[in-house]
Amino acid sequence: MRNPKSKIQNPKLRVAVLGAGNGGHAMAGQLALKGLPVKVYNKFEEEIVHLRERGGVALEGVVEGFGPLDLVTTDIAPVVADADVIMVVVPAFVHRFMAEVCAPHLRDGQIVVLNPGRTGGALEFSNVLKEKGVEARVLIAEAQTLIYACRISGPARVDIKGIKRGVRLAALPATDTGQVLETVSRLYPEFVPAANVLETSLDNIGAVFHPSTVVLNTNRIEAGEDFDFYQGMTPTVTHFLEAIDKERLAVAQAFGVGTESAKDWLLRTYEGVLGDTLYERIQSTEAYHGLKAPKTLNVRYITEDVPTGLVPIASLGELAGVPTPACRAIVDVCCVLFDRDFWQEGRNVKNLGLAGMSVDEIVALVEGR
Amino acid sequence: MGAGNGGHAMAGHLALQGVPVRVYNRSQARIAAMQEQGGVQVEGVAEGFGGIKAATTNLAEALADAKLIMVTVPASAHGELARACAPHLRDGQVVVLNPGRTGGALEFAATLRAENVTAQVSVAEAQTLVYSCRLVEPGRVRILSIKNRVLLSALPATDTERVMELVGQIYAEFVPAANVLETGFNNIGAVFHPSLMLFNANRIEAGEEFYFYRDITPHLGRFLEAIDEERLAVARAFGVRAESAGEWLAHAYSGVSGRDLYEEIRNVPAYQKAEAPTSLDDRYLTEDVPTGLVPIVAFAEVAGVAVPISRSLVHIACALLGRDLWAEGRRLDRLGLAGMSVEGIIHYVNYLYTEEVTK
Repeated sequence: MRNPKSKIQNPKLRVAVLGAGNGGHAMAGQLALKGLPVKVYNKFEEEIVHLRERGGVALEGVVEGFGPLDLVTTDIAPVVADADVIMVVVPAFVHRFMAEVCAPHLRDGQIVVLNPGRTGGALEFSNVLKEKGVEARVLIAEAQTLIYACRISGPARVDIKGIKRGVRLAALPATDTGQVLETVSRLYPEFVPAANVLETSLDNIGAVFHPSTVVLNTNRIEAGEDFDFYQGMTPTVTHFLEAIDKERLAVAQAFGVGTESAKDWLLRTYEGVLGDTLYERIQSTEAYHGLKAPKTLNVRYITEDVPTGLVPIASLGELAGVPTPACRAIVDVCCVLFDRDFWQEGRNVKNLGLAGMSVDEIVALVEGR
Repeated sequence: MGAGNGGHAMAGHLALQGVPVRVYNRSQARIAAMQEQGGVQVEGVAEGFGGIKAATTNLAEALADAKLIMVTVPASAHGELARACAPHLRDGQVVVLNPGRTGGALEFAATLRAENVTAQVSVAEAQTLVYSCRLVEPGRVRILSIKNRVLLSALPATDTERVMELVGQIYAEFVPAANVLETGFNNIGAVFHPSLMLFNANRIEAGEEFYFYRDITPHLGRFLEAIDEERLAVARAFGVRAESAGEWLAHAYSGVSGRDLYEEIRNVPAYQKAEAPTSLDDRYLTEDVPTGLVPIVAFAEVAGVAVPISRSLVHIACALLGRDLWAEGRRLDRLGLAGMSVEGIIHYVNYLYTEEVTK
């Protein structure tokens, strides 16, 4: 018998979660717990063995329960095929790969959300689809940050320490943002609209805090010394972070995007933050207490935040005629330290498909005007 | 000139050998002990009391009858000292910067010219301070070693022989360099110091105790090799032979070996107990950036040599210290080289005249 009401109610959104790291576990688990059909794709088999064995994710922390998954696989096709919403929850340097593997399977009307996009995620994803000749009309959006604070706490188990509120999201172009939010807010009421993807992209606080702090601690991180990453920062180190932040804000301003400073972001994001200077505010951020520095230099603080943070910020700055000497210097130093050409492998105006455009043309592109 | 570690060692050691020495220092506090005891107590590889003629804050008095003016102040003070000396210099006097860092003699000579000094003065620079030494207390210095084969060059290079003759009367350790580009590009401090300061900036400011050289890690060793390669490329572009940091370690601290710079640095006996500074406001940044990396980048630009790493370190140091070290540092105009080509600069350091080549 058909239930006549199901015609009227919104049918359940079918969700694809791409990536089975901390964020992927949390997102797949919680959405499944809400009763949505969720399929998970991951590139590497060894990272999804437990999810498949248990048939879902156990959730603890601010959310408790078990979220059963419809499918867990390293085969992208069945995951993307019938999904209404494709949640990409991988390090930003994997966005290009995800766009490439999704490309042949995308259909009209599907929504892709990068959680988060870092700087230029939606632009890169969209540009890859264009390169691949994708004709399906797909809505592409990026979030400013991952909605969860979470850690995998055991096999097929994730500890959700917090769910952020007011996470900004923008579609590319911005004229699609309303349509994306209409659907995605059925999964997460926490999302709020941003002006456009330049706003979500240039609001990359990790790019400000992470690479510089690693560089200014390179020696003892490689030596494996135990120290507090945030609370160990000295006044001069935070001065340096402010110099980087000023450059980021200047680039945002050049593109007409209102972005808050890192120190104001701290004040708004965390409770109980005190003081006027970035140094004082970092010192008083409870969430940073006891956060230890990495014990190796091969960390996402570098491998993600340089190529998908500082590199696109400096590249957009160059296009707009905004000097970013401190950002550039940190990238240059990282290229030598890690023997990688982050300028080439990272997001630049060329591989974001923006080369040769003016600031106004780029703004028009992201606005959809 | 200067009564720091090097000034104490030089004054005491020369006085001990019977050379008449007068010491100048800008501040009285540094020379009070010397004045009181009439000289410097020397210990270490040389031992004894070196009685000096005077220790004074009066520049005219210190320079009055000097044949040889040995400058041991930080290189970042060379310009200021040259301005202060200008009115007091006489024909035939010889100024030696110990050391000049990169461009010391050039800056000193350009400053004298800007001050309209007409006295015929020879200006020369050493590649490094001839002593390894440290002040035990004011008036007392420990000389750990006296270096061998320290490069010295006058500006222009045609004066080097004359300067060597004079300096050779009191030091056998100096050997002539081709010109001041050779002494200037052999600036190993510019390679080691700013890099290690930046990669340890956080813990240095936090006052953590660690060994500056001995505690370096493999990535840092590779980084130092890369920044060193930039310096060597600039030297090559100016036709002078600069030793690599590794070659320099092997020559300065005989017997040091290792598979790479990382191992070599960790194997230097003299580095074993060298503790890191406990402040970022240290000569390793405030001297080695403006008188090392800044001029190396400036020379590189003339020659069209890419030096992204050196340039980056200057930018980071500027942001860290909140100072414009590009402006404070040895730019080409401050060295008297503005607008010159590579050939013009080479001719200038060799002969001090550029007319023939610029015409």
